[in-house]
Amino acid sequence: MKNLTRRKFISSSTVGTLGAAAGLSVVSNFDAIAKSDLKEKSKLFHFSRDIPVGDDYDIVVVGSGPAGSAASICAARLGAKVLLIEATGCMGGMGTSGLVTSFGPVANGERMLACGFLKELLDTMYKRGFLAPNERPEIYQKAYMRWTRYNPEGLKLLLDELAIDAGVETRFFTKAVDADVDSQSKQINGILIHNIEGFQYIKAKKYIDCTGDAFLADICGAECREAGRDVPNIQPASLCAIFANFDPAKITSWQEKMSSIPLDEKHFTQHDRHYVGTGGILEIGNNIGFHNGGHVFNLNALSCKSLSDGIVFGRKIANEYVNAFKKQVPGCENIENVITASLMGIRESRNIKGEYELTVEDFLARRQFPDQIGVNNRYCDVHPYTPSDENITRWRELRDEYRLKLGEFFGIPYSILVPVGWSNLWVAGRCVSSDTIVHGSIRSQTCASIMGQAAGTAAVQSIKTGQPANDLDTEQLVKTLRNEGVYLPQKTLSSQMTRS
Amino acid sequence: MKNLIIILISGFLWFSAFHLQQKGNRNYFKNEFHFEKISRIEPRLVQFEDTVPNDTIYICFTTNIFPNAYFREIFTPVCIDGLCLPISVNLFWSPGGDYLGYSIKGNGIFTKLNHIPFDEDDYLRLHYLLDDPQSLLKDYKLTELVSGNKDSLKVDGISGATITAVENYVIKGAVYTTYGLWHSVYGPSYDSIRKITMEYLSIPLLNSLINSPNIEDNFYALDILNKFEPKVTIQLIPKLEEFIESDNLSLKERSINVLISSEISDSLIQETLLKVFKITDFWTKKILLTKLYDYDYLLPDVEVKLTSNLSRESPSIIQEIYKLLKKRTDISLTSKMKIADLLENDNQFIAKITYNFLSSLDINEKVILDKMHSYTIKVGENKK
Repeated sequence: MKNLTRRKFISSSTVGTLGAAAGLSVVSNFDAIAKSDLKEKSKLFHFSRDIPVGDDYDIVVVGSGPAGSAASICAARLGAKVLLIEATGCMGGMGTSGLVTSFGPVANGERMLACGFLKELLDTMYKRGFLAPNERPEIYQKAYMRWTRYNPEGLKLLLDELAIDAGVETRFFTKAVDADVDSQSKQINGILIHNIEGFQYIKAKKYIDCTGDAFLADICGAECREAGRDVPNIQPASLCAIFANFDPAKITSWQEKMSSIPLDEKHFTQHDRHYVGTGGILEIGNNIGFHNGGHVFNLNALSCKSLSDGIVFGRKIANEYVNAFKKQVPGCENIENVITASLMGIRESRNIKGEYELTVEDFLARRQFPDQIGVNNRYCDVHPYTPSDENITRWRELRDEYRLKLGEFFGIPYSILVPVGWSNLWVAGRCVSSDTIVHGSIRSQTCASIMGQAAGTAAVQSIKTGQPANDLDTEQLVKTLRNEGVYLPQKTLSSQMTRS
Repeated sequence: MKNLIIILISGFLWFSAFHLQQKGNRNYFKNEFHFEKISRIEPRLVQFEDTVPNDTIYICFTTNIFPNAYFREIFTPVCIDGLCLPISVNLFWSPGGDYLGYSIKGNGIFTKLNHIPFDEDDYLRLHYLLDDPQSLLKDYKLTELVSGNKDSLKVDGISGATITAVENYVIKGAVYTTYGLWHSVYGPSYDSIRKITMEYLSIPLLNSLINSPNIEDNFYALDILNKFEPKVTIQLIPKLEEFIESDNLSLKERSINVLISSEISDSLIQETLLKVFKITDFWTKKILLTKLYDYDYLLPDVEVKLTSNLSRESPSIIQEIYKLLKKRTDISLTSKMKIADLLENDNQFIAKITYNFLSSLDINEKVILDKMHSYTIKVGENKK
């Protein structure tokens, strides 16, 4: 194993800080939100050390949520030697560690849109009994604006199996902490990872950032937009939980009436009408459901303190819901909060500035792109920035304004996955390049999976052909994706990607 | 005889009157439905267990051979205080029970809350909403649709707000009308229609359903072919191939199921599946391979053709083909050689699964064993 001195590494890196935190002034609904920017505030401490150099790979994928798992498995199936690094102990991201155990709409009322790797996942989960009761292919392959619920443990098992089967090398409990970058050519030479064995330097030909927060892109120096810094507001986060021991028949009937019969505010420390109408429990198994209710406002996911305080507050909210359900909702007399998620449900943090920025105008125009790598039908769901009744009402109204009709869809172009000018870096998941409104549509697990498959496929093409990420032959990419079952109905193809 | 003449004359007069009346009606039909082609209408009394008072269903014929459409007359009140006249709506279905459209009699108009008449967009939207069998309305009781006062839930004069979940599935201010009509469309009429259509089951009816532009009728024909006589004939194979090639996953899968369950010889079925396999998309290939997997015996020709262009297939498809071939004990040398070529494939995943597959076979051919040996050496070197 070769060694690289830390000094040499730092000298070739664009950014040398471990971790990142963003400056932001926020008004908090929970105590002690972090407001400072570590980079500016902290005293500096320099150190140097020898870091072992690990094996070389074709592709390193950072983060194994819906985007990262799709990217790594699809790339490996196309023949690449892939290393997948994951900070937690399982794949699936928000669907497993985050306990948001449902895929957003995968069809548009007429046909299935998410036809690539995600369809394989869903079909296999159905066959193995990992989908929630009553979920069937006839429904998810066609239904309009419908969420498909699943058992998170089933998803974990399946992703493990598919990754092993494809030959993906997975390192759990491992984080990317820094990058060795040639800032002139905008190219990553290698990345620094850390786990129980200490630091390691990993070299690969291509890198895919599926961290959700564009962490890798940011430490490489790619231009990014941060919520709360570059745009005035941050969408609130939510902490999901698994509730059990309730009567689904009784609760379903009650849930439908929630818009008129809200949970009593006396059970809650924070006024938040999220628990009116949408604060229900979605059944994922026999008398087991996942709960996605309550907002943690002004949480800055790029501040560790804010994130830490936020998850504590999220747990408190989940417990308040359990008490409220217990006292107020028929069928919930014995309901239990089994577990809250170990990952905060972050809706918005950092997004790259890509070769193209997808806009709400594209969404409203149902725009089709020659280089699109997926299509989507989900409405734009931009959660309210404050818990005022007006804001929450407006949020619900906007979901109707920015909603496509049955049978419609818009395209997701390849170029939103590529940070401007970068040749061996792709980003997939909620941190791709888009405006804040259409971000509300494509930040879902469904789109993350679609984008992950595309990023993995593009990276393999780039290795085989020598084409850089920012000048990839997108006609070839679309043809490869179609060959893998992805639904890409654009009539015109182009070897040139869409650019801003 | 005299009675028969009276019935025929009154039937003719009624039919003529109906046609004349229909011309003055407000009609919203799917493009595929041409009411003017109806040459005969036959009333049939059915004991519907629904809330519609009129239990008559009308069977429409363009020829005398089998039904081409059905309709029922639905009488619906539209406001709470009686200011708006109740109106009569005819709901139309295809022979397979699919919604075809609606027709409002005479000068009848739908109104919304506070007696506001529907505008043209509302009528069109209602047609669009009624054409959605997956509408959320199917999961709701009427009393669950609105908040507030639910005492007068018989018309659209209700004062409560529509719950958010169903807002996109109803005409704003006309929740009851939408709900009532949707449930009439997808209520007991559906089963009754299919039951009546089955009375006319014949090859011409099946041909008509399978060639219908209405996909629900296609589904219905496939269901009949799957469950009842007459079985698939060779003449139907081109149509089934067309369905398998279509963009609709359900249609593909049902057609493949019909083909497989048919009494046509296994070899013809396998040949047909293979014919489609060579030109079809990723997901159909997956379905076809799954179906072929169910056969105990795979035609030698199918095996050879599946392996002839392996290198052009996606890795996932190659995986499925290997799974299928594992069932065969007598894979031909030609196929094995083709497969062994993939040990040298640039895609290491393909090379790996190929090696694993070949390792599971009883290989005696030196040329293949040499290739496998070379592969292990290459992998070993890569690991160093």
